[in-house]
Amino acid sequence: MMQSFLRSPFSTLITFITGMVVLLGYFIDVDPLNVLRSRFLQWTVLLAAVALMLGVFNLMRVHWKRLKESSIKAIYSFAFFGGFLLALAVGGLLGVQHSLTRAVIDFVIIPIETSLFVVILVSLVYALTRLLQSRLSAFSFVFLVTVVFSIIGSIPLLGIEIPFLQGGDGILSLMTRVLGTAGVRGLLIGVALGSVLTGIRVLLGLDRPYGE
Amino acid sequence: MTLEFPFLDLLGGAIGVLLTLLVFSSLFGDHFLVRLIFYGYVGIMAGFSVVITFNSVIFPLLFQPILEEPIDGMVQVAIPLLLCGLLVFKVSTRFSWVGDLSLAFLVGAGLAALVGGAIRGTLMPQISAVISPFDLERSSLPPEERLPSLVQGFVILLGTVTTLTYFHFGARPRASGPLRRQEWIETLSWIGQFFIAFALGLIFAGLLKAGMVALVERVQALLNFVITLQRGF
Repeated sequence: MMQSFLRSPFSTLITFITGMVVLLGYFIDVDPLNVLRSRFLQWTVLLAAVALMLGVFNLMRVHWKRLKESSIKAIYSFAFFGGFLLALAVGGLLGVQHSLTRAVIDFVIIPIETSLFVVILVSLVYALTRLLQSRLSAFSFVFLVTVVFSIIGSIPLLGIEIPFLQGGDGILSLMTRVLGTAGVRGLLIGVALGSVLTGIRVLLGLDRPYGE
Repeated sequence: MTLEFPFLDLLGGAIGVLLTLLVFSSLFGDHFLVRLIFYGYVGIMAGFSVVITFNSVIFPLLFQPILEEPIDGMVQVAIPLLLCGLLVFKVSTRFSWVGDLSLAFLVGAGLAALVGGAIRGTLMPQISAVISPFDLERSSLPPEERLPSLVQGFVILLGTVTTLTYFHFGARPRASGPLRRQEWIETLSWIGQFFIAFALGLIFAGLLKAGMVALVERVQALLNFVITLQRGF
């Protein structure tokens, strides 16, 4: 009884009230509403932080279970806990400004992240070649030409600037300013409209991502 | 980054080089050492996220008010403390429903912030930017530059509308054949695809350029390490 009450009408009501207070606070400039909105948003940030902590706790629980089962994959969980404890020790005990913490960031995190980005670069180039092989249409041709000219036009090759292509008055700059802006603007408006629609559906209780 | 001892600096460089080469080796296939590095990396990032979240959000919002003024602070944090307490039940399979209340609050306020931000931060400025070239009375451009600006504004308007039309999926059933959109929507969305292809091409090229910068940085780090080793021995 209590379980179903908390789940369905009460949770929907809480979502609706908090959502309306925050949403109206954006558009109506009244002092009590603004105070309540900023208080609600502060609590939301706090709840999101606690939710992140719970997510990490859940991750630890999964790895702890794996360690106890002592399967072949336990060695990976051991690496996870090693990294986790290292970060807690240097970040939590010594502080983020300590030279050892900076060393972990500079000699471990940055090399891994930068290298992963290079791996992504290779994957993107591979995807581009696959696109050429399998799906060559008028639109993929426009996509490809844009990519090639954008890369060529971004820097002077061996110090030589290509006329009409590079520079602020070049054709690439003009096309980026007009065609690129138009496409990105359409995409942005589409994403914003989708976000507004999804948000309103949840606020009105038509979708319930927080429970049945 | 320079540590207090040159040896530690060299050791740090060696670790960085080793990690770089191992991550690069994942291009030739998945293997044990790469997985070990990725799990360790996830652990480090999880640890740092816990430390940073606790230090910059949880401690100042939840514990600092109580430590500064125990009674007033307790009153101030009573509701958020209760909401956080309820949210903790989400880790339990049996009592997960207790946390629905906090989750409903989080979803309500979070989505309202998203909706408000989308309207005020994206929709209104973008729509305003689309129509502003046509507002000739407020234009600060000299008369000879107004026509090119108007043409550019028209192309941007056409691109924006056709791009949006491409994502219109409303279709009516026909007496014969499969579901299809109306002809004029099909035509506009066909034009829109060119603008989308151009915009995505620019975004893709941006990613490639950022990837190239990362590659140059890593190669530079490898070379620096080799040069340091040569000088040292």
